[in-house]
Order: sequence, then C-alpha cells, then structure tokens
Amino acid sequence: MALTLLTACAVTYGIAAVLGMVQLLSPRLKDERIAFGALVVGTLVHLLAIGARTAELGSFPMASTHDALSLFGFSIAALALIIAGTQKVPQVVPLSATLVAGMVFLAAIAEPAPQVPEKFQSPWLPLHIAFAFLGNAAFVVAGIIAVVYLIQENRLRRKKSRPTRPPTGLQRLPALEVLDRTSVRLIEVGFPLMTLALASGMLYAREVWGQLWRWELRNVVALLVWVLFLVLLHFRITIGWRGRKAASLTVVGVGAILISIVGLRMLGFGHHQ
Amino acid sequence: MKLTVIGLSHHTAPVSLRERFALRTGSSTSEASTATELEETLDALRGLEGVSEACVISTCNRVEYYVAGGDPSRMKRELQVYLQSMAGIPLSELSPHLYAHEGEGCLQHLFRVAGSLDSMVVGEPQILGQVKQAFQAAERRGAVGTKLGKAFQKSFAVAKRIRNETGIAENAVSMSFAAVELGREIFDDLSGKEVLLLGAGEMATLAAKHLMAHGVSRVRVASRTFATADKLAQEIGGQPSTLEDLPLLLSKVDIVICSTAAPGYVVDKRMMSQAVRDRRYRPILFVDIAVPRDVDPRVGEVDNCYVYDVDDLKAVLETNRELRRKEAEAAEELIRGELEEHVRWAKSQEVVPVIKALREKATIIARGEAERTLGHMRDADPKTAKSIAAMSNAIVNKLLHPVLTKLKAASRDGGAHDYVDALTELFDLETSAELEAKPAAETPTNVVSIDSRKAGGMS
Repeated sequence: MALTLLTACAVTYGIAAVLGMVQLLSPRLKDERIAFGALVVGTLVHLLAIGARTAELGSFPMASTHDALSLFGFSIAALALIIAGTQKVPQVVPLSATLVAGMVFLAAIAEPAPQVPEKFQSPWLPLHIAFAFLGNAAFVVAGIIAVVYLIQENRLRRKKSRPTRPPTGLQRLPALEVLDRTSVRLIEVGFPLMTLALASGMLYAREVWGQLWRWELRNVVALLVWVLFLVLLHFRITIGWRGRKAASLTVVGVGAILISIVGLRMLGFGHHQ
Repeated sequence: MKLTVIGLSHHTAPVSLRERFALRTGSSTSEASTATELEETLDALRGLEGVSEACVISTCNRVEYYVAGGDPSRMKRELQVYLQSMAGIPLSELSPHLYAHEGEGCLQHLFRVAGSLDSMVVGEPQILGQVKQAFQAAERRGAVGTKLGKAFQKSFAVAKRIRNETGIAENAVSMSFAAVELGREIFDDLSGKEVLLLGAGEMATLAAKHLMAHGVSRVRVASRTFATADKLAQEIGGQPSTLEDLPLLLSKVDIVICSTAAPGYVVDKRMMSQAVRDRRYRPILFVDIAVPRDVDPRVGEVDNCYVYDVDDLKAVLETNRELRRKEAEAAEELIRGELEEHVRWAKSQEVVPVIKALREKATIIARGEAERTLGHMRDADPKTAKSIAAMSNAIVNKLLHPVLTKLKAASRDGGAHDYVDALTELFDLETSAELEAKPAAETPTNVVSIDSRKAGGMS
C-alpha cells in the first residue's frame, strides 16, 4: 500500500515537473498555478504514503535509503511550495519537482529496509535526521534558486535578453535581487539547522560508536558543505559579497549534498552498514 | 543643384565605429566663443570641391552628411575621402558601413529620418528635434541655402504629418522605456533606488523622469561643471555634483544613465572595481546612451555590474517592433506621396525663374514703349494713357501665353530643360541657376525690386 502510494506520488511529481518545464520553455502555457497545483497534489499523496509506511512499520520511517530519500524529497517539495507560494519565485516549482520526482522514483525502487536495529536506537537519531533533512532541504531550494539566478544573470550579461512574443517562462524570470535575497535567506535558515544536525549527529555517534567523529565519506562531504556555506555567509555578512560567483558556489555545495545523499546512499556508502 | 547624403547609422555601423564620427554640437555649453566641432565640419564640407551647401546630423544612432552642389558622384567621392581622413581608417574598411543617396533618394532618406522611420526605436519623438537642431546649427553657420533649406523644411512638415496621421508615435517606446525595463530585471522594486544622471543629455533627462514616474526615489546629477548639473538638478528635483565625486557616487547609486559629451571613458574598470567593494557588491546598472561611450565595456566584467550601450539597448527595444510595423508602412506610404508631390513641384520650379525673367523683360519693354508713346501725345487724357498701358500689357500676355503654357506643360513631364536653355539664350535672360544659387534670405529682396520697378512704372 505504502509503495503504491509512493509510486503514485513519483508520477504526480513527474507530471508537475513536465508541466512546469513546458511552462518555462513554451510561450503558450502561461499559468504557473497549474504546475504549482500538481506539486501540491504530489506533496499530499506523499504525505499519505509516509503515513501508510509509518503504519506498516509501526514507527516513523527513517532508517533505510528508501525512507531517507522519500523523506528528503518530501522536505524539498514542501519547502519549494512554501517558497513558490510566498516569494515571487514560481520557477522553483518545475526545478524542484524534477529533482523530487527523481528522488522519489529512486526511493520507490530501493529495497524498503526494516526499522533501525535496537542497538542503533537513540533519542539523538530522530533529532539528527530532522535537522539534517530540513537543513539540507533549505540548501537544496537555495541552490535551485541560485540556478535560476545564474540563468537570469547570464541573460542580462549576454544582453540578448529580449523575449519572443509572447515570452516563455524562462524569459520572464524574477529580478536578480529577488533571487539573491530568497536564496541567501534559505541558506541563513539552513545553516543553523545543519549545525544542529552535525552536533546531534556527533552526540549520536558518541552514544552508539563511542566516538564523536568518524572519517567516512559522507561525513566529510557534509563537513565540507557546512564549511562552504559558513564561508559564503561570513563574506555576505562582513563585506556584502554576492553575485554570480556566490551563486555558483551555492550550486556546487548543493550538488555535493545531492551526490552525497542520493548518489552515495544508492552506492551503499550509508551509515549503519 | 543636386542633393547628396552619405552617412552611417545603427543599421550599418557598430557604436565603436559611429563614435569616431560623433560631433560635439556644443549648443548648450558656454564654449560658444570658439567654433564647435560641428561648425568646423560644416566649414570643411563646404570647402570640398563642388559642394555649396552642407548640413550634418549627428546623434547617438547616426552621423549623416547632407550636401547640395554640382555633380553628385563627385561630391560623394569627395565626402568619402573626407570621412576616411576623419576616421583614420582605409576606405575599403569604412565603405561597407556607409550608405549614400542622391537626388530623390536623398530626399526620401531625409523624410524617413525626420519621420522617425529610420530610428532604432521607430516612432521615437526625439529625432525630429535633433534634425531641426542640426539644420538650425547649419543655418547659423550660413552653410545651408535654398536647396537644403527647402528639403529640410519639407522634411519637418512630413514628419509632423506622420506623427499626426499615423499611430506610429503612440507605440513608440524609447530609451527611457528600456532603462525601466532593464531596471526591473535586476531590481525587485525601483522605489528606494537611486539614479545617477551622468551628463545632461535630453534622452538621459527623459529616462530619469521615466524612472521617477516608476517610483525611483532619488536622482543625482553629475556633470563636468557644477553649474550645468545644478541647472538640471533643479529642473527634475535632483541633487547636483561634479564628476570629481564620481567614485563616491558610484558606491551609492543603483542605476546610472550616461550621456556626457566626453571624448573618452568616464567610468573605467578600475574605478568600478573599487566602487563595487564600497557598495557591498550590490548590483548596478549602467545605461550608456552616450556616443562616444562613457562607460568602458570592460566595466561589465566586474561582478554585479551590468553595462548596456546604445547597441545593446537595440535588443531590448525589439519588443514592440511588430506592433509598429503596420504603422510604419502607413508612414512610408505617406512619404511616397509627399515625395511624388515634391518632385512634381520641384520640376515645375525649374521653369519658374525663366518665366519670371521672361515676363519681367517683356513687361519692362512694353511699359517703356508705352511711356515713350505717351510722351509724344501731349493731349492724352488719363483714360487714353490707361488704354495704351493696357494694350501693351495685352500684347505681352498674348505673345507669351502659348510659350508659357508649353513651358509649364513640358516642366510637368520633366522635359523643359531644352526650352529653358533656348529661352535663356534667345532672350538673353538672367539664368535660373544664378537665381537659385543665391541663398534663401536674399530671395525676398529680389522680389521687392521687381515690384518697386512695376510700381514706379505705373505712377
């Protein structure tokens, strides 16, 4: 039941992604609310799928690759909806829907593992997972907005920025300032969450393995990404640094997060193995 | 007398080439004591072989040299050589960017330019004022005579008709529109932003007013002299300063509209690299409508600096082109009609001096003979005198009537040239060319002299 719902959810996200992309690339489909609506439906179905999975397991699902991808995808989709609904950045819908559709599809084909074994249980674990997913989701949406920023910046720099008539969605992007501001705010929210995730992760590790830090690949990537965003925020606050290079660095950081969470997990570099 | 134009515009030449030819008119500055670049050019043009009248239109989108004189192809050659020496590049490189029109074609081109059909923003209203200014400057310098004078006056009338009778100006968007559009791509909200006017060009002033209408809160004006900046600042409600404050200003403002007459770059990369740190990397937009350009294109390489020169604005302005195309067609049709009418009129004008001279000569002879006859008739009462005068006039009219009718008919078909030559030769008339070569201002005196002779004869 849970798996069927999750598959339906992946399909709905896929529809939202296609609708959103068509809206970006074609001058005919103008209404951004269609893709937004599809993403809302996808997120609701996703919520049902997570509920069904919880009922099947008898506890909140968070251990396996299957559940982690699903939860991470849900965090991104929900955050993208909030940003698209409240900020003037409707372009996050198609980009995040594409990403989330891919993630949930991978989740659906990944083997659903049983719950975390008794010896790995700890009160720090749910905290660590919640902080990590929310923080990473904030970074990922910031990265998606940074991509839109780079597209808009490139248009302005190439100076061939005039739309076809009528213009496509890609030719009616938000102002640079809006994109920059929204992206940085998300990093400002994501950074403390990631700091808490690292801290709670260390406490969890001490409890379960008896050591604060283990030099494994995913931990190193997480640390590097944390340092990257620390540097970005530092220079933003001290000298106001922003623009193309800052946006590119955001995208690089988010790329590392996605590779770490999605790629390395799929290749079996996860914890607890 | 034939008209010829040679020029280069945004259609044919990039701004990097156009700026080599752009002339400082110096009309609004205080340097009136010395001849401006424009005046020097006008003098130089009239010094060319075969050229007797000259007028130069120099705007940010075009530089055009209008001349009137003898053989058009020779004038064209002379002009090309002149342009080559001015630009300092070989003619083979220059000529692909030049266009030339003569006679009717030249007139049509002038109509299209004045009517804003050849503009980058078709229908934009500024060009007519610029053409008028160019003509007035040439007039002040004594560089234009009847031929160019009539052509330009006609172009003003045609431009006015185009504006009133077609919808072309309604859809016209201008540089100021482009500035606002670009501002919106970069800034979330224009209110709370600051604009700097660098130089006090008319277009820049319009753009500033447009931006203010869209909520820009503060305008600063910087000019070479404080007095110029202050004058404009008072007019639009801004804050004046001089170019020395530029580094400080660049660290504050968000949009810069450049239109100075400076020969080189006013804002360079080094200045901006420093300013961008002082402004905490906030984005800044340069709309550089000056030719030669005010902003070094390399400023665009600095982070968060967006530099648009006149050619870049072209892309921005393409948007409404489709809408204007239909109106432009109507305007072109109007120009064709005006041109045909003008050509017909011009052809009939060809015979006017001859007719005038012929009539004058015949009238003088007839009157002289009538007076001599009356001198012999001591007892002639006023009534008789009147009859004799009337008779002499009637003879002249009857004699000339078929000649003039033929002449006018021939002029309409364009074949009056031989008749004009024959009549001039046979009657030993003052030739048409001599009459026409005299500048426009002298024509009225000529007319008066004929009238006074006539009046004198009657008394």
